[in-house]
Amino acid sequence: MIPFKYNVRNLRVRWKTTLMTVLGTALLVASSCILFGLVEGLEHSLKVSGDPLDLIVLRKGATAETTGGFESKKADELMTLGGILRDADGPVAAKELLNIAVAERNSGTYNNLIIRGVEPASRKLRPDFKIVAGRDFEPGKGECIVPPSAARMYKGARIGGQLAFGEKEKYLVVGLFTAGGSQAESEVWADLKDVERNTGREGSVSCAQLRASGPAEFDQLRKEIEDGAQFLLDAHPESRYFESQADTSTFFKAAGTLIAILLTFGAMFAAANTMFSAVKSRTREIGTMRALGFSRGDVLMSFLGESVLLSLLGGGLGLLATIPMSLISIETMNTSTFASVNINFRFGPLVMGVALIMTLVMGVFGGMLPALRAVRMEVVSALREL
Amino acid sequence: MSGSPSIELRGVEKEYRRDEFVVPVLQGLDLTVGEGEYLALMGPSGSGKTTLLNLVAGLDVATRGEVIVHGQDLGGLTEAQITRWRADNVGFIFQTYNLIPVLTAAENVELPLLLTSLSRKRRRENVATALRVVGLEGREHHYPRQLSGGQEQRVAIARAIVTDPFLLVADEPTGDLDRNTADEILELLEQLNREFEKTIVMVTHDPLAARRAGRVLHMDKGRLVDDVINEPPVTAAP
Amino acid sequence: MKYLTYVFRNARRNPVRTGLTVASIAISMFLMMILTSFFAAMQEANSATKQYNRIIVMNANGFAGQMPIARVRQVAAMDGVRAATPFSWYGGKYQNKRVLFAQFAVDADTVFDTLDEYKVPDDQLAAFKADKAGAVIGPKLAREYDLKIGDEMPLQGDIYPVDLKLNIRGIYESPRNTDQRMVLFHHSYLDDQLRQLGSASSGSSPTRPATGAGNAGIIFVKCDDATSTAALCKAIDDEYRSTDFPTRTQTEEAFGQMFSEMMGGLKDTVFWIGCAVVVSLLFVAGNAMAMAMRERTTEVAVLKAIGFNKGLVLTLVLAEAVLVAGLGGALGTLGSKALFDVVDISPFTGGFLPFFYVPWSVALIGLGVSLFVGFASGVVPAALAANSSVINGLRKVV
Repeated sequence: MIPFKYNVRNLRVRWKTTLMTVLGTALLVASSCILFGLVEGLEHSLKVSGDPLDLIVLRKGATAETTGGFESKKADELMTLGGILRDADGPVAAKELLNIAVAERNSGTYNNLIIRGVEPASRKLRPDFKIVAGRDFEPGKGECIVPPSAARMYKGARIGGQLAFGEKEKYLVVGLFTAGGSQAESEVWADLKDVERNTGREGSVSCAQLRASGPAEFDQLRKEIEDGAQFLLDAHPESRYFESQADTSTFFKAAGTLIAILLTFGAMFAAANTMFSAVKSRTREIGTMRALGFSRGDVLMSFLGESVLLSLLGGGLGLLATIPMSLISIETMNTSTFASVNINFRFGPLVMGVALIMTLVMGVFGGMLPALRAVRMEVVSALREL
Repeated sequence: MSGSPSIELRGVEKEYRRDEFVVPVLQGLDLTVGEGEYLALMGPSGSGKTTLLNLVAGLDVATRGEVIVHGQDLGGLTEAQITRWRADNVGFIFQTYNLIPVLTAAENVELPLLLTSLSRKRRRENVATALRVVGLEGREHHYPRQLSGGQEQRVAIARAIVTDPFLLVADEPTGDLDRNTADEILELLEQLNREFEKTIVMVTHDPLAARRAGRVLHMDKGRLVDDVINEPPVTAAP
Repeated sequence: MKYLTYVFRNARRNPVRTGLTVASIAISMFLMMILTSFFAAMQEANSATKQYNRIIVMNANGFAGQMPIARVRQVAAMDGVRAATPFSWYGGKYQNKRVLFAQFAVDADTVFDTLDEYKVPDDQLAAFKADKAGAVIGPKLAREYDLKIGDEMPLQGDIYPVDLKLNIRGIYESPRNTDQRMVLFHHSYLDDQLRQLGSASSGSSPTRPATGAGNAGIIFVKCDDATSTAALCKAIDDEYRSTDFPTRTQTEEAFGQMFSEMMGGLKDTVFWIGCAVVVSLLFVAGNAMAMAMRERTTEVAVLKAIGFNKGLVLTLVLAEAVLVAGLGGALGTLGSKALFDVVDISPFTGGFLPFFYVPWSVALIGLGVSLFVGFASGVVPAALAANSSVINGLRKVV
């Protein structure tokens, strides 16, 4: 085996080329990582929103909370069902009413925000609900709480500000909340009764959320709700519900994958270019090594190794560059609800996987042909090269 | 050898700076070369012969002293001016031919003509003439890699004469050639000197090449140590 | 120009290197075209609607808000209005799966007068108007699901608690940059179904009132000419400002613009990725050029010896860099334009993108960017070559 330090030294000696290649490929890897970080953020928020024991109840046939409403009376009856988990405050279940309304961003453009009218138990039904600034709202006072991203982006959404949606709907922002990175962090929360009143929709709810006290009760509850004559509703397991909302995520994943593939090819060509040049300029050295007794296989592995090392440098740098991105979130439109969705960049397995795959493809496939060329040279002609 | 001096060096000194060291390469050189002379420069490695060649060809500038060619003091020219001067007055022949590998023989020869304002038709005519003079008709469209060493050097010579410069400068023109081919090339150079009255300054290690020249300068450690006029050039035995 | 031979030949000197550089640039440009066209094609399609002089009336509180159906007639009666139709989003499922093609409840008598660039043969239009359960669908939809005139198209309710049994009575034709996968059916049919269902069993959602009936969704209005549009927008909004359902009326172009603005952060992300790719190309192309020039030091010295001055040497190297980058750029930009002009990818996006193509403006900008990359990547190697020492370059390398 040709000692690896031969390759390391060569990369150091040709440092300008090494640097340019590393920077070029790092940027491509970083771009892919960022895209997948956003995809991962979106998927994470969808996954984390669904507790395995939670049910989200919608009108029969409806597929989304935003359009799947039913009568409030039925929702009240739901709350009395036996299988629901109970704690000191009562059943861990809540009726909720959604409104989607136009809001103005600080930049002057508009988007639709989801305003969720909630009950006290709603907080327990979200993972890790926390007030991170200000305080929670008090019912009946026309107050609301918002996620930190909304406070940053929308006019009037800071604590003490007033969020106004049309003439009749106004809420005073009294606090900021987070909810474990779940979908709730793209919503504005207000008291159920306030939202009912403001939208003139007393008597109906968008959905009811329930937590079963155990797996057996979970199944039983589902049966009761779906088959019970007085209900005629659908009880979706929350995790499956959020999976089905993943339209946007699927599109982004597909787009992200396509982009990453293109970028990988680009990076592969860049790495190959550098390696071809390396082989060309070291023809005489290669001839010498072969004359000394190193086999073709040794030469092949040596150059492949150098290519992989070069790619690792680029891939590693690209990956590192995305770490500070964890602070980034982008706010855009959820294509299933046409409402605002906040995507937090998440540095997780998807991101690292992308970086690793790109690096390996770059290094191995990019370096294969140059390495083969190095190997195919006849010793004598190689030694004759200037 | 005609009367008027075409190249004059007066008190020429050349130094190179390496970090804080000053390396003297030429020391107090005086030299006169007449119009149409065929001059060989010989000497051990480091004697300064290539540097002298570079000064005469306008590739380098003397640290002190004057280099006057055809009445023109090369030291007083700007870089752009001296580049222009070279294009008009000097033809180069190198040991390793230095042809552009991606151009054909004809295109290589045409290169210096691109710097003139001649029309494409005129350029082609001049290229054909140059190739004829060096005996390479029929090889116009060959690439350097398809030519033998001797043929490549002929192309290089054709390139050197195509703009009809008065001065030809050669740095070990036969260094990479076998004896027979070397003789052919030297024959060609003599012909250029004799029939076309080119002034030739040639650096060489080859004593047989030096004997073909009209005058041989020996150099050592940056100084001229010998200046020998040859008997009428010795040609190969009949 | 006489130097072009030399420049071209040099580019061909190392075909592998040139090929890889061209390929890198082509792929990156191809990607840029896709990313940029996503927004630019939407933009172009938006601007194209200006010529139709249409305005859209929606609920001021959100485009998912309500619009009483009676308003369609009221607006149609206004001065300067040629025709108006409701456009109510049904959002149903097809074959019991959520689908991404749009289904709208419209006024069959006025819809094709309002959307006059959508054309339906007279006989099909008549059949559509005559059949209350009739529908007109888009050509891409017909192709994708193999639907013909006379076929049934049952839709299962998702937003609305009623199913629809539609009969396909016509297939429309429309310009390339419009949605060719829509289903248009009678608003009265939907309303009847909803009223039959009665008010007792359905709850409400942000999108419709208790029964769900009587909602026009949004109103598409065709104005007489360009001058009346602005005034009409104001007139309509003033008229309904203090009612239960205040309106927001804007030109069709502004309405489309609203959607693309909602995308918000996404556009910025795409922009920054584009920038990163361009910078990456600078490194890649610059490196390739630098490597090439390093192998040519003697040759450059010879050229300078012969009499090629600095400026000429600089130009020759730059020209080579620009040529190579330009070739890659042309492949990527023009190639992608040709690809998407010929291949229709909308079926593969599951209806997410009703159309996708690369506008000329984007392709040309991409070409310009690649030429810039060529220039910027060649500048340093060119300057180095131009300023290189002739003597050092000629020194024999042993």
